[in-house]
Amino acid sequence: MKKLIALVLAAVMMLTLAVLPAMAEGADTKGTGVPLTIYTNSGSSGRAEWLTDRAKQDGYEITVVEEGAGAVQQRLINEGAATPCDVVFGLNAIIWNDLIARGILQAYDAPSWASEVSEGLNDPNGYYYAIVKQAILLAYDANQVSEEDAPKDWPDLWENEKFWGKYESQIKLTGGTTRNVLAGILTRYMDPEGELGVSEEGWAAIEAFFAHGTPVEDGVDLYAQMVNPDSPVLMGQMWSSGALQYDEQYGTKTGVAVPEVGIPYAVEGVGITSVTKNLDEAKRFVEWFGSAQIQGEWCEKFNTMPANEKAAEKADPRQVELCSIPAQNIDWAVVAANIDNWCEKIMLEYMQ
Amino acid sequence: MTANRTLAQGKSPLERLKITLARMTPGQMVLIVVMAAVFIWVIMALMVLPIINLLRTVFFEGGTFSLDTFTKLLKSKRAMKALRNSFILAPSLSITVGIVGISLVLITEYFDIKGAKILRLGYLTTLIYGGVTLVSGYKFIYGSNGILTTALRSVFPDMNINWFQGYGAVLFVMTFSCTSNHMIFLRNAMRAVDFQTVEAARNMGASQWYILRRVVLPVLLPSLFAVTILTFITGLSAMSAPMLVGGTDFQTINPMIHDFANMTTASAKSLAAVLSLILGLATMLLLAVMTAIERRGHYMSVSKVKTKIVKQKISNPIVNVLVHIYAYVLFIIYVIPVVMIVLFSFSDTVHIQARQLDISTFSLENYKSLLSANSAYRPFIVSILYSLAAAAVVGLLVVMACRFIQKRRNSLTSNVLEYGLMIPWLLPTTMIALSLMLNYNQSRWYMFNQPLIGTLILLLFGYIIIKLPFTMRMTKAAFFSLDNALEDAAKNLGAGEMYTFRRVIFPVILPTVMAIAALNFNSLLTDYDMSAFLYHPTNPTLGVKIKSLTEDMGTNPNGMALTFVYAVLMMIISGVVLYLVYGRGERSDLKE
Repeated sequence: MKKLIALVLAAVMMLTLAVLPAMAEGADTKGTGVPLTIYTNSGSSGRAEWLTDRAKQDGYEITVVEEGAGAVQQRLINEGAATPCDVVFGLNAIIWNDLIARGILQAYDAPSWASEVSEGLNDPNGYYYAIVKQAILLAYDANQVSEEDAPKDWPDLWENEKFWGKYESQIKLTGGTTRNVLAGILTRYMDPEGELGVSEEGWAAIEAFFAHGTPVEDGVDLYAQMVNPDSPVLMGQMWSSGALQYDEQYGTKTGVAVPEVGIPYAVEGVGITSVTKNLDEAKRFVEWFGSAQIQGEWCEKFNTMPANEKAAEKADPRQVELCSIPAQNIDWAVVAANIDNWCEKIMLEYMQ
Repeated sequence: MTANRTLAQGKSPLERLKITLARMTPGQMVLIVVMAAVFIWVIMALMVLPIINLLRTVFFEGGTFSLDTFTKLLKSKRAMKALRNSFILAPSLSITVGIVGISLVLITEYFDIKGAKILRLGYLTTLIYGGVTLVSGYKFIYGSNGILTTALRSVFPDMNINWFQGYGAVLFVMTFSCTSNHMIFLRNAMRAVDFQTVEAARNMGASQWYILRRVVLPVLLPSLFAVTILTFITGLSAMSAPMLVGGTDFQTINPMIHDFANMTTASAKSLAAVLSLILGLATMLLLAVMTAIERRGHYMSVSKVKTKIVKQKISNPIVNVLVHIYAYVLFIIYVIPVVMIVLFSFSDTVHIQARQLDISTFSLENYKSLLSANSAYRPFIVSILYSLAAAAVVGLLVVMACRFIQKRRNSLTSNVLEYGLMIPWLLPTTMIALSLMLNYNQSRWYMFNQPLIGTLILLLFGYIIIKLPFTMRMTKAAFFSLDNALEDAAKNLGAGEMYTFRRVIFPVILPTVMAIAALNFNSLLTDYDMSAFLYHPTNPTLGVKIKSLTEDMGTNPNGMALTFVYAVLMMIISGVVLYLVYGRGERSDLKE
């Protein structure tokens, strides 16, 4: 009898050992070499190359297609069912929700690391899971503007005369940062009766926002204006990793408004297309890519702010500080459904 | 040919067709059928059907057509103002570019000006760069921190440092940057002026000014018409100059069209479509008017034995000095922006944006970081191959089309063919890219049941399409200035049609065809709008690579400086291409 039990136990152990690799989690999930095509807007400055090489080490054969967020979105929409894309990563919540609404993505079971991601960043319905977050800030140069004199929230810019002309207003509404800022402002004024779901007050706010800003000088970034003594501009929109980058470059010291309602976060996520023919490999890749291990390496290499809290330990402390501002409560699905129409109205009626 | 016409007169179209068919050899018939099939396919499958499909989705989403788009536009002050500005810019630019362009050609080819060869190189710089880079070059001089502004400011401390802004600034930049076509096509025409006519006029006592006006200019007219249309279109679709130096007062419509076209909603796309159709129709209208004028007059040089022009010394000494001053001022205006771009490419993003030229910031870092990456070369090769292939195919297609049109002037078929190939002027590049994508994300029988998404050929199709109208317009001008006597002589000597074309006509138009191909190549090399949508996933083009350097939420703090490095590398490639095509043609010209 004892012998039998021992035998069974041994068999069970053997089986467990044999099965274990298949149940591997996170960075231990190895690829099988099935080629995957991956679209992203987060592939420049050597990221695409690094990822391709790093993935290869763990058995993944990936091709990274890298272009701007809007271009990735357009490409996926227009390629339709013919898209060669298996996995998408990067983008932001607005685009993710648009892709979901168009049926371009499929929901998939949460990868093991999904629970390590800061709350509220993953898609509640499982279409995408967050990997990196960017705080969308109202930034100013603390060397020139004291905290007391600085705006506390976006509406200060147009409501308080002393900021008029001192902040940048955009001339193109296609960028992700701009759209997140607009979403952060307009969603405060949601009104089912109002034009495009926004109250009259909301549109008046937007009108004032654009009327009192100094239009962006095409090809010159915000920080170049802030340090230019001839330019009136002292503040404007900025994404968190950009703020650190520019501080280093221009010797500025970024101060940020900390609104009571919180700030929008551009959530870079990872999703799987609904037409992929390599679903299993795609899932394995997602499991691997979003793991604390790989995201930690990614963060160290490219100074990003991981959404994965375990990987966030490796992030730059200033980055962590900027991203500790509470997130504004925004219904991204509503934003995604309306943002193009909002931008269209702003372009036609309010922009300078 | 004249005999054919007289014979065929007074017969019904069907009988005329019969006569034409009866005169053809089987070889010719096969050729005609193949050509017809190719052109019908190119026009229908690559342009008409995708565009109709796109416009249908855009305007009739939800099954009904709505007038919302028009009311929205009419209500928008900004759109109306931008549209008006575009329609102000196009004609004024046609005039200023015309004047400067003609003067450049006179300086380099007609008058005896000291240092004309160097001057010419300076005037040709617009051929190797353009767009944002070019306007940035001008801003380094005239912009708020530019060298000229800084110098003026030390004299007049209270001056407005943003003086270089608005309509005047846009017109200034564009006037000097849009003379490329004049430098090529108008110059070719100038070289075709028969010097004997000039001498004859002089012997009869005509003044220099009179000869210029009554003898030389008339020969230039057909080319002048053609390049003026191009200038008009450039003005209508101005983008970088208004964006960078237009200020809030002088924004044009094209940036708006571009932004709308890049949005995902049908409503935004319909705005883009309506606005661009307005511009497109204006272009077509101008084209029709110009064609009509062209047809009415016979502006061809009639001499059979041409004598090469001898450069004219300006007889009035004061005028001579003034013209020299003018020529060198222009040279400075042309050359300094290029010099600035090259210098700043060694600097860093911070100094580029501040427009501070500081030698201590110069280093080879930018070049090193760009050229040391192992992925750096691929986009160059991809773009060069695509541009080369597209320029060649377009050239071939258009030469065939022009030959057909030339032989059947004013017939319905040739008009349909001509305007069919002009269709891409009706819509902006972005919309054409979208139309191809949307139409070929599924298999279509007229594309041999192959979806094109994710194939290498899709972008090639895109490149070919956008270059058709320009190529068509300029090649046609070359065909029309051909001396008919040449062809008649060949025929009389018993040469067959193909032989005549191959050995008589083609060699004459080849320099123009090559020049156009070089221009096409250069502009495709940096294309972003078409590439962005259609590029093959593993083969991004240069334009896509460059654009990613300055994306929103970009990750490269030195991206701006790298775009300058790319610009300089492109200048080198473009320069080499132009030299190979154009500089060599020059030498063989001289041998003659």
